[in-house]
Amino acid sequence: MRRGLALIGALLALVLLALAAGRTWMAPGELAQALLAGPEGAGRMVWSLRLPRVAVGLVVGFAFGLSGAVVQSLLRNPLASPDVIGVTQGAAFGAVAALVAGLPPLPGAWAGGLAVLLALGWLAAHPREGLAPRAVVLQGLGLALMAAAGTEALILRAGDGTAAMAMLWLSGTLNGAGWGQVAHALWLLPLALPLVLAGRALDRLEMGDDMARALGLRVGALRAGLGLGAALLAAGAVALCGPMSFVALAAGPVARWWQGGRPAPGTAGLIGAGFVTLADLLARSLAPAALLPTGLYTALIGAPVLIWVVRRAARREGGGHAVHD
Amino acid sequence: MPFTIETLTLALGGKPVLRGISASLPARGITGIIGPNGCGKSTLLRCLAGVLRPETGRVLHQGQAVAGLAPKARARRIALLPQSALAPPGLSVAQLVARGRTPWLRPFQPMARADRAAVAQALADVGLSDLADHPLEALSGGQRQRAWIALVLAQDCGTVLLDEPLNFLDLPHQAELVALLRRLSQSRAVVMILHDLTIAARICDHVLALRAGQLVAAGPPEAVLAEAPLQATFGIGFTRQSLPDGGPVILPKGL
Repeated sequence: MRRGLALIGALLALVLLALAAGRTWMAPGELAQALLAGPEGAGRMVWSLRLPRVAVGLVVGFAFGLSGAVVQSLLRNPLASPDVIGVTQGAAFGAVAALVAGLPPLPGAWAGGLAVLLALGWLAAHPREGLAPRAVVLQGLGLALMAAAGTEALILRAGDGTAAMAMLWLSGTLNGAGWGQVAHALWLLPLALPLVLAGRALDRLEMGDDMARALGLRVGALRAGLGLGAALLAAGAVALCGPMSFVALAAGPVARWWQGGRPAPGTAGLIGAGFVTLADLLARSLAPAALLPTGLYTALIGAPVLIWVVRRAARREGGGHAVHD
Repeated sequence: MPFTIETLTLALGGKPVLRGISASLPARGITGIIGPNGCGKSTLLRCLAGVLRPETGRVLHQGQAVAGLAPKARARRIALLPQSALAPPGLSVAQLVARGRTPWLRPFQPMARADRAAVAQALADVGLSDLADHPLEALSGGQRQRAWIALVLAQDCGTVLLDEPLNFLDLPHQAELVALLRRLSQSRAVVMILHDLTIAARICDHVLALRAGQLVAAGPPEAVLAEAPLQATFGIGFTRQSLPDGGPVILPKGL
């Protein structure tokens, strides 16, 4: 609990820093004045540009981090995440297809993400033994490559304007995020709630399907429900700002480390939110004129985290201990 | 009668694993399941626990169909220690054992006093009270196995199913665990899969012998662990001798 509060405190500080950051930095007094002044007049820049952008970043980061942590627990693999098993790429394909067709991206992203999830369920399900986690990861990698190739084909066929827009969006960007996006982002929160509350179930699922069943869990229903929620959440986040690389992958292990080794979906959401906020802060302040996408910075921060996770997992020999070993 | 098994049939991946098994198991004491590798022992145990649904036939636990029980209600009556159980890294012994309380916990509530008492009792039963706060990884193989047994005990079920609990333990640890299980079975039904026939003959009150998904023999150990039924179960001959202590020793011929 105390660790959770410390994390929320750190996140709040980061949010204030992100509001102050940008092409022109604001002193704490200026920021307070602007926030108090309201959307009209002196606070216009903060209220109409920075605040919605930070809010969308928080929600998107929370969604990616939460989704990644849930997928990692479900597949008992610290290197699994919606972007490893193809859900993110499927969502991106669906969103780009919608964009090219001149439709809103969210239904397209959901359709694409769900298509990958269903394909995985069908490919990797064992009639009686349930899902084989390793099969999901490996076949998901294949689906991710297929979806990425499909997206590329769509972009090559699209007109120049749409293609440029899609390319920028694919690298994960919060550019131009406004209050309209915030309204869309809030739709993701009801999806997030059951996943945040699923910590105990995820912990038991990590002990193996038989053990979880023997402890009274409805393993099939939980896996289907949590997997569906995680996929919809990741796809919804993709629809808002494109696939932010590494957020879903990196947030889970960091959250787990922060909470002493237990699966911590809510914490992973907060870490993801902080991750995107930090990356966007860098995107807006390091080279503001270049308008580099936020996803570039999430990759720059996330890749070292990934390496840390792999080295840690190697030290722990795969992360799990069987009854007999 | 904790278990009545009625013509249980099951195929996994198109391959028949259990073919029409019928048996009844006693409500107290140790029931051993023996048989060669791949004969369906684990599958039978998983069907008894209700984690696997048979295709035809039924498993009744105290007269009620296991498949018809709600998962939580089932988990309060029947505990299973599968071979596939994984310990999430970084757990202390007490934290692992506390996971046995899962079917008794209320949603989103921490453990109540009764839960903590059950965990403490289970740790005491297996003699790990002093190591409760130690990380699981720091334990020896025998201690770790006792921690898993404690998890199952903390689940507080009248029926406990164990899949090869003696595997990979050295002989002193086997002897220690056998004594523990013997003690526990005075107030519970313990059903476990065993490979060592001498141990089975000395600790079991009831034995089921399986071959290729069919029940070859069932009954008291003196009857099932005799030369003829063992030959039928494993396809090789066995010698059975009595030691000076009066207990049997059973070894494959030609060993």
